[in-house]
This record gives sequence, C-alpha cells and structure tokens, in this order.
Amino acid sequence: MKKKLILIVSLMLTVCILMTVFVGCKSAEEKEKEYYAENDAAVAEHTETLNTLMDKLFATGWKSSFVYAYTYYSKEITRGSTSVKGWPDDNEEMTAFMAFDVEYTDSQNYTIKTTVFKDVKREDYVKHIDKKNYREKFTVDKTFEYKLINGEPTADSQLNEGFNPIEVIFANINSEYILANGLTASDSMRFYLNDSFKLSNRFMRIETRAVYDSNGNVVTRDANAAAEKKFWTGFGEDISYDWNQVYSMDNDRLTVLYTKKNQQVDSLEIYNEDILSYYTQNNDVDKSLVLKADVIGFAEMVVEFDYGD
Amino acid sequence: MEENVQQEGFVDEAMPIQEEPSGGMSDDDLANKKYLKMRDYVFFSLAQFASSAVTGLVQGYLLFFYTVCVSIPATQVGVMFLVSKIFDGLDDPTMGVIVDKTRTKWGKMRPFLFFGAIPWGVLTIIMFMPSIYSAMGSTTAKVAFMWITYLLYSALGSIVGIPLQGLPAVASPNTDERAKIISISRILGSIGEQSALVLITLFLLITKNDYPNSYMLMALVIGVLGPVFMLLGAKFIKERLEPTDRTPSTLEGFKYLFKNKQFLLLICSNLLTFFRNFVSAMIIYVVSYIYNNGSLQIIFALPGAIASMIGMMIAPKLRKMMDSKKLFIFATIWHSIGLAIIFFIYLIGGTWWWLVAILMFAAMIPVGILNVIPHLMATDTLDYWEDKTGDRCEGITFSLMSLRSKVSSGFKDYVMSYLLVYFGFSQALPFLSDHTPVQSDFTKFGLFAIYTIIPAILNLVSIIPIMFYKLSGKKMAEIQGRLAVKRLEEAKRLEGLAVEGETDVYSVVAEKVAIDDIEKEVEMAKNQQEATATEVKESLLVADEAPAKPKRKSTKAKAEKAQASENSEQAQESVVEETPIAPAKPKRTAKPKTVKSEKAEDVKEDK
Repeated sequence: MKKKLILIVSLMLTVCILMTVFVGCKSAEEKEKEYYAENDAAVAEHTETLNTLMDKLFATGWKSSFVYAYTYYSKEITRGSTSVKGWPDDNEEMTAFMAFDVEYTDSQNYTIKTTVFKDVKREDYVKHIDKKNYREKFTVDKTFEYKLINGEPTADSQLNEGFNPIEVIFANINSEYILANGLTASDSMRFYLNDSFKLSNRFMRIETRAVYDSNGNVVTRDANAAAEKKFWTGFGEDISYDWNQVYSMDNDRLTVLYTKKNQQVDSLEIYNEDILSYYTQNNDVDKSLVLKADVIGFAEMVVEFDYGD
Repeated sequence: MEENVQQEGFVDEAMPIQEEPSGGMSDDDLANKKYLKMRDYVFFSLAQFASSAVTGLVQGYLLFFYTVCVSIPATQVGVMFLVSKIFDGLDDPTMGVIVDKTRTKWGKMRPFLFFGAIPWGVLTIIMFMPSIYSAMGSTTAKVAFMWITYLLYSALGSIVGIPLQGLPAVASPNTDERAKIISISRILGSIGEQSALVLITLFLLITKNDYPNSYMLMALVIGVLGPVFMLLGAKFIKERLEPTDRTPSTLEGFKYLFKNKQFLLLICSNLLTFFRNFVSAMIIYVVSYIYNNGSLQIIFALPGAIASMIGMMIAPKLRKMMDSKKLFIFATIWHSIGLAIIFFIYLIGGTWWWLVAILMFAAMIPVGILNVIPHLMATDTLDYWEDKTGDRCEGITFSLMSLRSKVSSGFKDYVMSYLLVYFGFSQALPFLSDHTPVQSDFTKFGLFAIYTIIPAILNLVSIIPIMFYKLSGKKMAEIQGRLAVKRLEEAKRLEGLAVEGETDVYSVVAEKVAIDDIEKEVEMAKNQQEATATEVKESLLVADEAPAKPKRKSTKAKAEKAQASENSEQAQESVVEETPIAPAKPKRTAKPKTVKSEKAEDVKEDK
C-alpha cells in the first residue's frame, strides 16, 4: 500500500513539474510577441463591432440619467523624495460628483441637465449613491442646462466647467479612441477584451494603460527603442515597472453591455484610475522611505440607455 | 446517575457495564450501554473543530487570497481547484483502504493524525504567506507554487481527514453514542469553520483592511492551533473496536459505489449541492466590492453560521415529522426560495446590508439541515446494504462521502472562478502596492447573483437524483425493523460470550466475524475429520501429556482443528455457564486487545 501512496504522490508531483515545464518552455520573447499579436488580433476583431454599436447609439434617440464621480484624496499627493513623504498622513478619500439627465435625439440635437453636488466623503457617497432618492441625501451645489439645437447651443446653455458627457461617451467607445490610445500610440498599454456569452446581451471589456515619464510624456513600446525598455520589464500579468523611471500612469476600463440581436448598447461603464509613484514609509517597523505606486484618484461613470421602446 | 448522564448525552465516568455481570442485563440494557467518556466527546470535538477550522479557512478564503491578494488569474485558480480536488477526491477511498489495512498498537486511525497533523498545519501557513508569492514575481512561478502546495495540502488533508472521520465508528459500538458524538462534533466543527471568519474580521480591524497580512496572520493562528488540537484528540480518543482481519481492496470502494444504487443516488445528489457553497464563499466579495467594507463580513457570515447550527439542531426533530428524503427536498426548496427572495428584494432597491444579513439568516437555516441529512441518509444506505447483503461498509461509505465533498468543493471553486471572469471581475493590478479596483455595476450585479439567485436556481438540480431515492418512510422502517431484530439477537448471543466483570459485552462485537469463522471451521473440522476421529483423539491425548511440537505444519493444523472442535463444544457449554472459553484462534484472525482475547490466549497457552 505504501507503494501505491508513493506512486500517487509521485504522479501528483510529476503533473506539477510537467505543467511548470510546459508553461515555461517558450522563450520570454516568443511569449511576449505572441501576447501582443493576440492583442492586435482582438482589436481587429472587435473594432468592427464597436463601430457598429457606436454608429447605432448616436443615430438613435435615447434618454439617460447617470452620475459622473471623481474620487480623490483630501490632501495633495506628490512624488516626494528619499527624505520627504509623498503621501501625507491621515489622507481622507473624498468624492466630487455630478448627475446628468440627458435627452438625446441625434448628435445635433440633445439636452443635458447637470446637477453638481458638494463633495462628500467617499464612504458617504457609497452609502447613498445606489438609492433611488440619492439626490435627497446630498447637498446640491449648482445646476446647469445645456441645449443643442441643429448643432448650435442655445443662448443660455451652460455646462459645468465645459464637461459634456456625450463627448466622454463618444470618445471612449469610439474605435478611433481605442486605436489612438490603445495600441498604436502607446504600445505599453494593455488591451483586454472579453466578449462572453449571455442570454440576452453581451459583455465587452476594454482596458488600456498609458505610462508617463518624468516630463509627462507617454512612453511607447517600440521594439527599436531599447532605451524605453528601461521603464518596465515583462508583459501582461507579469509586467513590472521601474518607478524611478515611471512617474505616473492612466489605467482606463470601458465595459459595454449590448444586445447582440439588434446591436444595441444597453449600458456602458467608464472607469479611469490615476496612478502615481511616490515615496512612503516602508512599514510600521521599518520607517525608511521607499518608492511605491498607487491610485491617487479615479473617475467612474455608468450610463444606462433608455431607448423608449 | 446513569439515567441522568444519558439524558444529558454524556458519560463522564467509567462505564458501569464493565462492573456489572453481564448475565443480569436486559435487552434494553444491552442496546443502551454507554462506552464514551466525557474526554472522548471533548477531545474528538476539539480535533473536529481544528480540522474544520483548517478546511474552513482553505475552502472559504483561499480563492479570494489567490485572486485578490496575490493576483493569480481566476481561471488558473479555478482549473487548479477542479483538477486537484478531483485528484484529492480519488485518493480518499485509497486512504480509506490504507486506514482499513493499518494495524498498529495505537489503532488504525490515530497514527495518521499523529504524523499528519503538523505537516498539514505547516502547509496551511505556507499557502497563505504573501511574501513567498511576491518574492516569486512571475505569474508562472506563482501558479506552479499554488499547484504544488495545494496538491500537497490536499494529500495531507486526506491523510488526516479520513481517519478523523472514521474515529467515531471505532470509538464506540453503540450506534446512539456514535450518532451523538458525530452530532456534537459536527456542531463544534461548524463553529470551527467560522473561526477563520472571526479571525479575519479581527485582523482586518487591527491591520486596517490589509488583506494579505490579515490572511497570513489568520493562517498562522489556525495552522499552529489546529495541529495542536488534532494531536490532543489523537492522544486521548480511544479506538475501542478492534479491526477485523478483512482488508478491502482499493477497487472495492468504487465497486461498492455502483453496486449500492441508493448510495449512488445520494452521492450524485450531494455532488450537485456545491452551488449552495457559493453563498458563504461569496460573502467576502459581496462585502468588499458591493458594500466596500470588508469588516462587514462577520455580520454577513455569523448569522448564517448560527442559522446553520440551528438547522443542524432542529434536523433530528424535523426528521421525526418527515423522512429524510422529504426533509432533503423541503430544505433545498426552502433555501432556494430564501435566496431568491433576497435577490429580488435587492433588485427592487433593498440593498441595505442589514436587510440582506437578516434575510440570509432565514435562508441559511436549511443549510444546517442539509449538512446533517445526507449523513443520516448515508447511514440509511448502510442499513439498506446490510439488510440486502449482510455487509456493512462504513469506511468505504464515509470515504466516498468525503470524496463527494471534495469533488463538490472543487466544482464550486471552478465554477465560481469562471463566473467571476464572466461577470468581468477586475483583479488588483499586481504591480501596485495595495490596489482595490472599483468593480463595474455589471460585475456587482454578477457578484450578488452568484451570492443568491444562481445557487438558488442550481441548488434545485440536486433534488432530481433524490426523487429516485427509495429509502424513506415505510421501506426504511421495514429495513430497520429487520436489522433491529438481527442486532438484538447478536447482542444476546454476544452477551453470553462476554467474560463477567472483566470486559464489556460490545467489545466482543469486534470479534464476531472472527468467531463466526471459527465456528465454521470447527464445523468443517468436525465433518472432515470424523473419519480420523479416533486417531486425532489419540494424538490429542499425547499432546496433553507432552505437548511436543509436531514436525509438520499439516499435523499441527489438524491437531488444532480437532482441538478447536472440542473447545468449540466446550465453549458452547461454557456460554451457558459463567466463563466462556474462546476457541483457538484461526490463522487469519487479528489479535484483539480485549481482556477476553487475552483470556483466550491464556486458555490456549494452558492447553
């Protein structure tokens, strides 16, 4: 019986070792090439779908009420230095947000009502925002109305600091945006698509990441520019960044729910993270300052479309 | 005193049966004799508590740890869980057979606990050490480490778990006592399962929601205390039933599964109950990503755990009102309806965490019932098989139940990890210090659906095999009636074989099979050697005067058989008198350690 036990344990270990060897048998370069080739193929495959969806969305009338929120920290976060903390203590999460009521007829004719609320603590925002009567739970700061008729805004039209959600929606979902910001301009970005089956609709996820150097320039992934390789090593799940070189990063995520049958967008969710590298205390025991990176602010917007049918 | 003790469910002193002459015992006395002491209950429950604490930690938190704390892709984790748990499930029956074949001075179960507990605990700690994963860097290395450690953990889990589950079956021959110790230890076990919850809540508060380090601290506490409790259990629990000489083959377990159709139906049904485990496994996701507050976990999980315990306690009472089959169906539907109500209330805006927690309390009561009923049904299938064939396969049955549990758990993690991917669950970016991505609304909806409506619907599938399950109501009553008569007859017979005041009657049960064999051999010896009776008698006379060793084995065997023949007749007379004389032991018979056996050896030596 001992033999059988040894046999079982040996088999299990063999499976583990074989799997490890199998996974690791390709060279890193080959795997990297394969990874980006798959990304390119995914872009090509889904660009058409996205174009069709967008064309239909902006050619159809719809209504929607939604919130755009930006969460930030109450104290300013800087990079700091080896002797100065970049992340201040007792930094509290706050959320600035505004609600939009949109009646969209076509790209030349629509109305946007904007309600700006006073900033609240993140925990209070989360506590109430999913409730139907959330507007009653927060303090309104100001309101605006923007009306576009035949491509011209009316005289009293106003947007809060020029923020037009229609442009945000359009810019994010348009395949040009993806091509411009996804892979061609900055190859360091990650592109991730998930198009899974659902009974009534489909789910698509697009993720992009842009990396910036100390001058605020986007770092591109160019096979011929070896110098730029100093910003990161690896790829995909295993990518790691040299925070001495990378100062900041944008991490964007767009989720689209759509009905396959009539190619109609049901909802889209835009999520954007601002990431910064900064000096902070290593831990409570080792209080020396080390360079780390984390999210210092994020924007979120979930738009559900009501086509009135 | 004895009656009071029995009413309370515990026996705290030496068993009176050992001091009472067996001849004065009624049928009821025979059937109700107690063997377990308080320390058996305490230490077995402690061991069960420890074992459940470790399995509760791994089953409830490892998926979250892998996917969120160390950023291993969910699909990779899902595949690993599925494959390794099927592996693990298959080695359970093998372990059952290994246990059945084990003969040591400590018994056949306890040695595995002695040697397996500490490595199991150490491995549990290693699996939850975030620093090991971060030192590895690449996902491939993390995945390989995950596979190796989890497979080893599973193998050690079988080495420790199977003997632990089998201990009640050898701790007492009294079925009521067994049921009691199982019931008490399962309640303690379910508390043990929640120990990880209490610890994680505590450590999250202390570390201010630092998940990786909280998980490591939790694993350290459980990984150290768990083996200590298991070792204490192994030290103090007694194996009272001696093993028979029959050692089943490895394949026998699997054959039994397909021969006993009722058991097969039960296993199939139970395999399909894995969806139910989504509820507890999803709590951490729901509180972290929907309610954005990890410390709410205890508020969600504890009422459910208490409700589950209530369910376990009321299960025996409900079983008096309806048979196991109906109760299984009733509890499954109750659970599904409860979960569906929570989902629909959430959909129409009832998203308050306190409302969900309260409603979940009501929905989780049947889970306790469903934790107990399959085990009672498994014992029904044992009775059914015994009634049908005369064999009783506890070891195989419970190792297959364990297999079912592990395979089911593997399915749970596999399906759950794919559902997380399907609903677009965003994992933390591995290159950031403490990244907690906000999940999209679609994902949040999905997380709540996995928590409620998905298990609610899929749970109902487990009812289908049970619809074909026949061991209920009248049929089971008939089977149990026949077995009761059979057992009473055996008890009476064994009562006669017990040595007055020196051993307990039921310890003889362990030798029943051996004694039956002896009698058969005696009978055969009688018939076969009738022709040479005179010659044998002469040789016996010579042997009595001068017990010289025969030169040839065959001669010795003949002499022993003939002697056994005489002894058998003598023994049968002695049964009626006061001192039973055990027949000579056949070669295949194991060596029981009971006083009776020692006496038999003495008799043999005397001769």
